[in-house]
Amino acid sequence: MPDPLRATFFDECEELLERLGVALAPGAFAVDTAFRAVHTIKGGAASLGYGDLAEQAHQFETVLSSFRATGTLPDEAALEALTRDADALGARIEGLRSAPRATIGSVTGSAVEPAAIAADGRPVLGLTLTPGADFFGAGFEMARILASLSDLAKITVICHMDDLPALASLKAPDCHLAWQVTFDPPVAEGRIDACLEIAAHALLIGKSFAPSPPQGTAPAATMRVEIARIDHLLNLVGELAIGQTTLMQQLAEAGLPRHGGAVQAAELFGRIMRDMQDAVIAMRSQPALPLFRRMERVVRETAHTLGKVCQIDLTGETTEVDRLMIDGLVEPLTHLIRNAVDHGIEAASEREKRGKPATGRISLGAAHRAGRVVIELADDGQGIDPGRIAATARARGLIAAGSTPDQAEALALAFRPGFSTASTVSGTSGRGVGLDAAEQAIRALGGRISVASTPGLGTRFVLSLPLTLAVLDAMLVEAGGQILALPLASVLETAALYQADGDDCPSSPPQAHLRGKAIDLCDLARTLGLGRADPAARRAVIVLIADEDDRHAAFVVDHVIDQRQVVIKGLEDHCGPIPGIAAATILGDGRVALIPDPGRIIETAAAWERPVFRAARQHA
Amino acid sequence: MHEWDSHIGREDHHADDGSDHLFLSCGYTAIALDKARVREIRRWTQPTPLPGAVAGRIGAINLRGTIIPVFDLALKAGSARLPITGRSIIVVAEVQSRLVGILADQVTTGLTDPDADGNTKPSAPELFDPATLMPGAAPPIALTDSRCQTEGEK
Repeated sequence: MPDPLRATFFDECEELLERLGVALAPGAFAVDTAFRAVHTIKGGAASLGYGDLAEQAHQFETVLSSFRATGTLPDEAALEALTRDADALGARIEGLRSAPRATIGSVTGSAVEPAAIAADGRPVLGLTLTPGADFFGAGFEMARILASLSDLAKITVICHMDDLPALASLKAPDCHLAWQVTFDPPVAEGRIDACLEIAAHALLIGKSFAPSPPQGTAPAATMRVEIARIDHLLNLVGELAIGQTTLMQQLAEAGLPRHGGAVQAAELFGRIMRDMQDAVIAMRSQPALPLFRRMERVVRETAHTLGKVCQIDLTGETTEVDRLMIDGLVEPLTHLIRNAVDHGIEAASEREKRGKPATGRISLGAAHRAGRVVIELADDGQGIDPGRIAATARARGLIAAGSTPDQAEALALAFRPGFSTASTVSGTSGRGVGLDAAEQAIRALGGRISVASTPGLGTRFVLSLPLTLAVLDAMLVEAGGQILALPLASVLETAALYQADGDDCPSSPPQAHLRGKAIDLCDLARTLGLGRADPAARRAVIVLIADEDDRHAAFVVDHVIDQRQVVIKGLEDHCGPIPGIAAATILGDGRVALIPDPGRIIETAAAWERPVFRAARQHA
Repeated sequence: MHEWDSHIGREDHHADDGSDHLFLSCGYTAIALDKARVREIRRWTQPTPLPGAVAGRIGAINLRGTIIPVFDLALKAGSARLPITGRSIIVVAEVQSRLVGILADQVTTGLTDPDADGNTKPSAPELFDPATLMPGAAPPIALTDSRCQTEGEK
């Protein structure tokens, strides 16, 4: 198992134990908080192969759930017992943290050479799998486990029958076989643990490791810092940047030569400042790996629940993503993955009929592209059937009875709130809260989601997200004498605006015609109460905007200044909620520029008296 | 007519001790602010106007990375907007961890009023609670004094 994942798990445990301690404090017993903390520890421990820890947490959870179910408060003695349980849990976690070579999972000495017992993150050369007493009773099949291991690398399997008793003494539920698996090339232990996680409790697992260079096995030391502190540092760096800009202006006004020592020194100062800003933003980031591992678990659990066979391939796990972004991605990705397994991946028999491998494949990857984080989720399932979507949409009156949407339109319909083609509601999906909820969550993170699908071959979702929630890609525009930073994720294009000659169509709200399409116009400055643009007096610019519900509007502004990344500053803390404004940023000269909320503005935009304008000369 | 001084008198609801208060001249409005709430006094910076109808709010400024609202108390009290001059300043006050800027012409530790005989006597404008400027706060500001004039204006 890779070290960063372990380190994150133990860091989280530390925080959860703190929460648990507070929840078990006399007079402040909070059973829900305590239960959630223990449950989270259990889940993490199980996913990382710490079977004993997971079991201990499970027992503790059972005790807590009894208080939860009855609503009774523990008496003094019971509270003391609970606290002792919490201490014991903490002690085991600490033991695992400080002794990374400790036994993990269901490995027992009888089946495994001590030297082969896990050392996290090391490449595993071979495995010995011995089914436990309830392996077959629990419905596991060794063939499936071996098949999933074979997806990790080329494997050689030897079945050992040395312990097979005489036929007369053979009992049906007992298994006397053991399987020896050799990987070529060796596979990281974390991937194997993830693969065996579901059956780990029913298997005795022995591992042999490939030799690795001697190095410390303890996870790298980390320090948990409140995001507010990092943001404060980011604020200060931003202020330094403003100071540097002022200094450059002063030097220029003083008439100092551009290539002189003072100006050069100030420019160097600026470069260091930008590096510093990047470094602080990087402090908010962490690899996508923990998120991906969680999604790996979602795939396994969903497939297990639905009786499907599928596996997930991960790429780009080391891609750095803003920590808050990672938290925000859990829900939408879970939705998308459950949908993929439930509606996308066919049953094994169906796949074989279609000439596909019995095991469905889901791939999840992350990469940095053009200053954004791009996450791709693809499956090789049945794809999205436009005909089925159209039929559902027609049945629900979302489209006209005789209309036949093309592939793109059908895919757009799938993102409509409450849309589901599932005939039954299962525990995993079918409630119609998947795609639109996922899209809204992605939009809330400043991102976009697109989907492409080929019926019969699969579906691919692409999530494009900003590098960090602290920084926004923005288009700076001037409207009513004020500089505004429009979120670039909402900007579709810009165009010059001309009043149509003799065209006095009394449309309300006023509209612009862009390539033959009528789009509502919204005077941005006027709507925000910052004055108004005057397109009759000078050439104005419209910025075509799409909000999270894909409603379009054309914001009329005086002119476009620039596109750049801006540091997002909250307004509500000191100014309270501001209508139509999502946040603010600070410009290079120290001035505050507002970041409008396109969705809110589209909702509340007042009609503009001027009738019809013609948009021309597309800028971008 | 007010004269800025370091001594002020005692009066209910009014600032009672020059050492604990700062006095702000905001055009024809004078207020006293609890010194403990004053974080800093900054030179005038043009605020960025904010949408929304909040009485007296003239915009927001950047205070070392934190964006805070700025109020013109004269405007809030229903008078004309305070003209910006070379002496205009922004007094930053803190209330319940929130920061607010107040536009002022001058700040001092005390002021006096001339009596009928022309002698000066301590004057004490009402104590101003910046919490009334916070989002959701209802009460208006305390005092306007049409006779108020700062020392520098005399």
